[in-house]
Amino acid sequence: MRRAPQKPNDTAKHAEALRSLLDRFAAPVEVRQGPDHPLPAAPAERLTEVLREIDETVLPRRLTLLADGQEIGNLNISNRRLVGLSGADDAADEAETDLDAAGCAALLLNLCMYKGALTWWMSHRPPDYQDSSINCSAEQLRTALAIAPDRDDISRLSDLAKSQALSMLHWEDAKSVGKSSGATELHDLLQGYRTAFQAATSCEGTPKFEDRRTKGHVVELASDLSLLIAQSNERGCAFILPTKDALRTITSWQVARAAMGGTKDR
Amino acid sequence: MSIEEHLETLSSNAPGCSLAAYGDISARLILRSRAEAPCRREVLDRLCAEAADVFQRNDRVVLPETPGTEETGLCILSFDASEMRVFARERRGSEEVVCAVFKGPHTTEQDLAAVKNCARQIAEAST
Repeated sequence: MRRAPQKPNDTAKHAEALRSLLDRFAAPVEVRQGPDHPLPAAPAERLTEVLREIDETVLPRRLTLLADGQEIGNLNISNRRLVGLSGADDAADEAETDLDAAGCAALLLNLCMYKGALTWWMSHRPPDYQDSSINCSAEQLRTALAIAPDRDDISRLSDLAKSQALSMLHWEDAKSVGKSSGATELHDLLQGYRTAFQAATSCEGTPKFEDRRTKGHVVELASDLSLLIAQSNERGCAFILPTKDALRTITSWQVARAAMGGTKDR
Repeated sequence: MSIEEHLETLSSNAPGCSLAAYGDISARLILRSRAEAPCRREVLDRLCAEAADVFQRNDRVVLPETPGTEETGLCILSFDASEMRVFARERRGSEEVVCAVFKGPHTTEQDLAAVKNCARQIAEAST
């Protein structure tokens, strides 16, 4: 059957509808969806909830984090991936555009560690994200936060500390020499602390007690430089790094541990 | 200022601090403490024993002969998955220590400074 030819006024009507549709897509209007949702008080639970939202959001959306009604961060999400991110330190409407998964994870962690109460709300996202190269799945962020389930405690601590460390040492068991890297003049100091640390849990090579929990110390070497040492069973790591980074490493590790489901040792 | 007042100041300057204590590590005894909730003697004894161990362990390490090493090991943190305990003393070999317990992942450089400041002020007041 032959289709009837379109009348000229139909063409104009369709063109108008198309223009209206394009205008709607291009309009920088955020339509808010639903009320504010409170976030839990614990940073680990906040992180878990935000990662779940990323993982469950398919259509382009903007998740805004608020503290006392003030925006402290925005997450652009699309197709179950984080595609844009701005934090409290960024100028208004100025999103980070070139962060990798580790950078996004660090910023996300900072946002979730806000000390006061936090809420969030979801809106349709305006099309301002094309310039961003951010593209991380919730799984990639979990890995970057060192909370991927296949990582053990020492690997997680190591992942978090190594980028700031001046010098580091890893060992697989009590008898191995260990693998050093970074500033060589600090290797003896790392080995010295490792020996002293291990002496506390063993006596003449025989374990004094079977302690498989992960624990460690931060020793302040100077006003702004510290040694971080940790051991789990016989595996361990030691780093020399700025004190503020040592504290941030432990805090992130504790948050990650809690986000993995309680503080039970793994 | 009394030791109790110094510990009170420490608690107010470090909001995440759930227990602040002053003790003698040679006797392994906490002499004064200030806690958010009542604290059993065994908990305090364990805290002081840990302080004694970490400082003893630190003092066994041979340090390189470089300027500034006298500051090394005056402040030591002990951590596990859920808690951070900070131990500070005024100088190497000192038997007087200030201990502070921080529950949860919130310990900052300001908290550390507050503990060290408390140890310094108590030492200054006792000389």
